[in-house]
Amino acid sequence: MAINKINSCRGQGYACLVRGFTAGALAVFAGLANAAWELNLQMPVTALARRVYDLHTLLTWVIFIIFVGVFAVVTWSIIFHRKSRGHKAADFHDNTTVEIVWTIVPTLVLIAIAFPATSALVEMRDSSQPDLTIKATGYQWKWGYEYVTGDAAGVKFMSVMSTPREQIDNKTPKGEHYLLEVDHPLVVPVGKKVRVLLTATDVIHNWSVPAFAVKTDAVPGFLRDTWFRAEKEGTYRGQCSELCGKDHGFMPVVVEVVSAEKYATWVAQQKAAMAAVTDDPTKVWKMDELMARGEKVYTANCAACHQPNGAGLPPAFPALDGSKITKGPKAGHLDIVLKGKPGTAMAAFGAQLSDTDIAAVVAYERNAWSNKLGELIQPAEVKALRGK
Amino acid sequence: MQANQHAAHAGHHAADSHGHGPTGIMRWITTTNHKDIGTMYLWFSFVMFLVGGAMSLVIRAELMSPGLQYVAPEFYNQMLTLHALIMVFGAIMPAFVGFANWMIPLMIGAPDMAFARMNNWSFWLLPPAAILLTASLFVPGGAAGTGWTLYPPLSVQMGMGMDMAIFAVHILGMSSI
Repeated sequence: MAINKINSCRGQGYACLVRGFTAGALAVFAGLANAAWELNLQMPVTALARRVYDLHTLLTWVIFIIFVGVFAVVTWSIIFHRKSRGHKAADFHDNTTVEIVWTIVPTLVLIAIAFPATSALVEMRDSSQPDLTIKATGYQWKWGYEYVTGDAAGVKFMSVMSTPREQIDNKTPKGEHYLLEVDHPLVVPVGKKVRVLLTATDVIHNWSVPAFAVKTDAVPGFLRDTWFRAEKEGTYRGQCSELCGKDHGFMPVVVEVVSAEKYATWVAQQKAAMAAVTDDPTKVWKMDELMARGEKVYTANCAACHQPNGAGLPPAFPALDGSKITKGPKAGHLDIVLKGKPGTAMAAFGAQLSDTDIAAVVAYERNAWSNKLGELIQPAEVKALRGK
Repeated sequence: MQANQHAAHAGHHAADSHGHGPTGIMRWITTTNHKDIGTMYLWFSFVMFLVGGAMSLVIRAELMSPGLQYVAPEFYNQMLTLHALIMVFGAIMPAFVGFANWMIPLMIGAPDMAFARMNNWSFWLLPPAAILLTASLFVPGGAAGTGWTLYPPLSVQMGMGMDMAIFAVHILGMSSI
């Protein structure tokens, strides 16, 4: 394309050549960039994010002007005051006026940029009087959401990345939202102030949505908060932004901003679904039922480390296939699943999964692969162990 | 005449090195000459730059296109962590110290650095620390994969590679005192 342009410029002069080159270069860049050739921050969708965006633009201009000013003087001095041009070095010792000027000017610049920066920061920290509060918990490697106040109070779910393993392993083409899609996104109403309480169970995570200019660490043992008021419906995507171990790159944050009506429908659906999902704790499960349920729970919660084939990634993530724990007494097996193992990535799933899920997944682990123990585990057994 | 000049030159050379210094590797292990020590720092820094640079090549090769290409995520994290620690503590800092050793005595007109033997000891703390850091890649569980900040509680999940990295950073820190 660039070559065509240049050829068509014959006899038309320099300006046409420059245009041709520019168009050609742009075409090459457009071809290189997969999805979009984006250099700037994401388009803001909250008033606060707009402030952050404008602040960033302002500071970039300040930096640009200072950069050009300083380097213009340096370049001019190098070219026009060199020895070969007969320039003599000045030999004065000091100049009080200049020293005062180069102290006062940067001070004024600093104050000028500190004002908008500090006021944006103060607004960012003001999470008071929210319309609804959501608690987000960082796990290795997924997010757990719990609606604390508002219409959806009590709704809680896990938000796990839904990009298929085959795409990550380059076996199938990548989807549009590769690594930025989850099974259950966080759903919030448009125009409402949403306060997000943040904590983590294992290591430090970070909940970040660039379009909201929100990025806050989730620290185990601490409760921190941030907030946003989205002005436009849509799906906004971010990623865990604090290195949290092996699958740090695979725990995206997805927030769906919907209208008030859609939100009400979603809340009703969630509540109905939660009521329906509640299993009968006294039900006696058969082997094939347990295995089917257990495989689902295993894939969602265990397979990232212990691998779908149970071989693990030793020594950090031990194998379950043929291991001492999965082939040993079932009390020990249930205990490690319920309470986790301190000092390792093995989480205490007692807080995350129901009795039925734990019974199913432990039964699955004891009967899958080469572990054919033929043992059934019932939710009632898990419940009995929980108290201890 | 020529013979005289040669003798004078030889005599001058002998006076310069005091004539009875150790030779071979002991010359470098026992040297108190700020230029020798500066040179060792600079070579050490260059070797570490190549090691850390090779790790960044692994990182960049993996990131060249989306999806997993060459390395597993946990190994990627280890490359990231060691690259940072090696570049900061093994390449950049020793390079500055090397230049300082070479230049400062010349610039201020001093015959050598103050505490010349300690200056030598400072350098010789570096190789064991560098060996600890790089060897941590080969222990069970691999090297630390926490990023160079080594934040707990993630650091607690690492294997003995983490302990080796912590010890190495302590030694590197002692060297810089």
